[in-house]
Amino acid sequence: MSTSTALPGSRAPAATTGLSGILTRRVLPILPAVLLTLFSVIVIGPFFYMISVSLMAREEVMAFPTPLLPASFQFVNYPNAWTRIRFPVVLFNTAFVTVVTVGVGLFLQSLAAYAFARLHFRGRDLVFVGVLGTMMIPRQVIMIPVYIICAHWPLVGGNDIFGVGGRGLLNSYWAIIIPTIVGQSAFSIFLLRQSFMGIPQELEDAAWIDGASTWRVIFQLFLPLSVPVLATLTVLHFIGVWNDFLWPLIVINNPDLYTLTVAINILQGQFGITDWHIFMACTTLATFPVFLIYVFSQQYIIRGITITGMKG
Amino acid sequence: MIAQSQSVQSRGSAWHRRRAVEAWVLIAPVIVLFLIFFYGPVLFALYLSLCSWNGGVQPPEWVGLRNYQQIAVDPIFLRSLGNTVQYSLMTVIPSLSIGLLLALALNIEALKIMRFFRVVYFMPVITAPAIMAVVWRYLFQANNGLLNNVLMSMGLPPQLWILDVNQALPSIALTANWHRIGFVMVIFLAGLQSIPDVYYEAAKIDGAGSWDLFRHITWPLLTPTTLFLLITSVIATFQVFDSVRVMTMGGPLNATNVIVYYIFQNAFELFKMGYGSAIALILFAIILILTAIQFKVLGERVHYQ
Repeated sequence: MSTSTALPGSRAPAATTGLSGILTRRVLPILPAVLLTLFSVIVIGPFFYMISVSLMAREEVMAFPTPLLPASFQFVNYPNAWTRIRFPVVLFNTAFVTVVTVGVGLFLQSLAAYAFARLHFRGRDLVFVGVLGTMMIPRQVIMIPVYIICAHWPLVGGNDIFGVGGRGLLNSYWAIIIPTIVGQSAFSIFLLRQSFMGIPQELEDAAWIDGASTWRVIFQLFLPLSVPVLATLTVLHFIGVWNDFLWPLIVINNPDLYTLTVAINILQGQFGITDWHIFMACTTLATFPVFLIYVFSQQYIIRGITITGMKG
Repeated sequence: MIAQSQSVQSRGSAWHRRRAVEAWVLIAPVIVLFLIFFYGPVLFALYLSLCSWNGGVQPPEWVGLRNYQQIAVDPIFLRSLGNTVQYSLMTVIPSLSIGLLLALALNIEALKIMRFFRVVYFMPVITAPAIMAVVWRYLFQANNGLLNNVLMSMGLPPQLWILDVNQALPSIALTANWHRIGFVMVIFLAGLQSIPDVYYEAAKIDGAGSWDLFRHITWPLLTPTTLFLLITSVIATFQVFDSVRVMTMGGPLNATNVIVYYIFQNAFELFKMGYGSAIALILFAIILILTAIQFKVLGERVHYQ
């Protein structure tokens, strides 16, 4: 009666009678499923409750104890939340910063990856080590200096040529975009270079023979052949920038430029204990975009994480 | 098309030289950005850590190693260091253990079930810690928060959670575990699935029981994955900031002040940029040493078969 698909080792068990028999034959096989379901309740619970509370009326939120489910769905909470958190503005800020960071970032990283993968130049390996080295030092070490560099960037934000007098790059999208690109680049360049190195030299030579420029070789040969890596990088970086909190908190204090994470945090105080339902609607709105992305690309995310994870 | 691939070697040296120049053009933007926004700042941080500066118009004042000397006896720093270590232990150990358990449980399920649970468990991982921390703050509410309501409905006393000096850090660690478990599980799952079935089959033929299989096949072959998760988890937990800022702002009474939060306070609330930089460099050193220790001590016991 031995099976090979169930628990490792659950061939005809030694004890098939009595209590241990029942345990082994009946309980043990369903234990994994029970465990998984139990924990998934804990994992999903907060999301479920967040959405549930977001649809409650104030009386229910104020009631003691607050129910698990709303008596009726107060969808009106959402337009309310939409306005209070200035959702269009905040969403645009986050989206703009994310798209530019990931887009411009990948563009520059692809160029560099191609150079490291395929071109020979003096100092190539040294520079590449320098690129990788940026993954070793935690961002907190440089966050203070980069803040100061942004504040004193010459000829922007009211600064003179010595970088004095104004706000520099602070309170602008670029203060978020540029340092974030730098932080992501080592990882991207590493993976893209890996992918590029796997493309046969003959393909590239054929393109050269046909008179392609370097530009076309990169964008019409190497990148299309690296779509899985690109997709993974895009999604991972997108989520990373979208969810970033510490850095936007440091460089932005103009409410018109808040990103989602900063806006939610700053607004905490305004909601007190009477408006949790509205605030939960705000957090639902704030997490919704990421969920949308997750639904459509979860296989890329998970596959990407496991691949990079396995490469250690 | 029978065009032969012309070997790159047969091109003239002028072509190679032109391509070398091209290479520098291609990497120039990245290099410039790295110098200005990374390596420059690293040097600047080293310099700042030896100065006292409020970030204002007056230039930094050189103080040598005084910042480091002060840090060594700073009670808040020492508290933040202890908190960070505790937080790391309270996050890494449970998340790795439970994550492994869940991965083992998931590994034997049918493919569709496996994919379903994987998607479900990974959901917290993609959310912003800063935003979910707000939701958890609501769950942790002493009055009428979900956790306390559940406790009371089971006849248990309500807790103060993030308001209590002793419970605040474990509460934040709980949130961190919730956030990370899916990630750990997915990585362990990938590791488990890369173990060839033949090993198990051969062992079963030899009469191995499930515990033997785990002990002699599964666990040893999982050690690279485990080491990877351990190192990355330690590094990540030592850099915690978002949930602390959102839920407790380092309190109550510095009970949840962690190293990165203390850096933030010093640099951007107290305007002690030199002091903050020094703490940041110490954090870097700590992470470096911990990673090196893990590699050395545990790396030897990793099986790469």
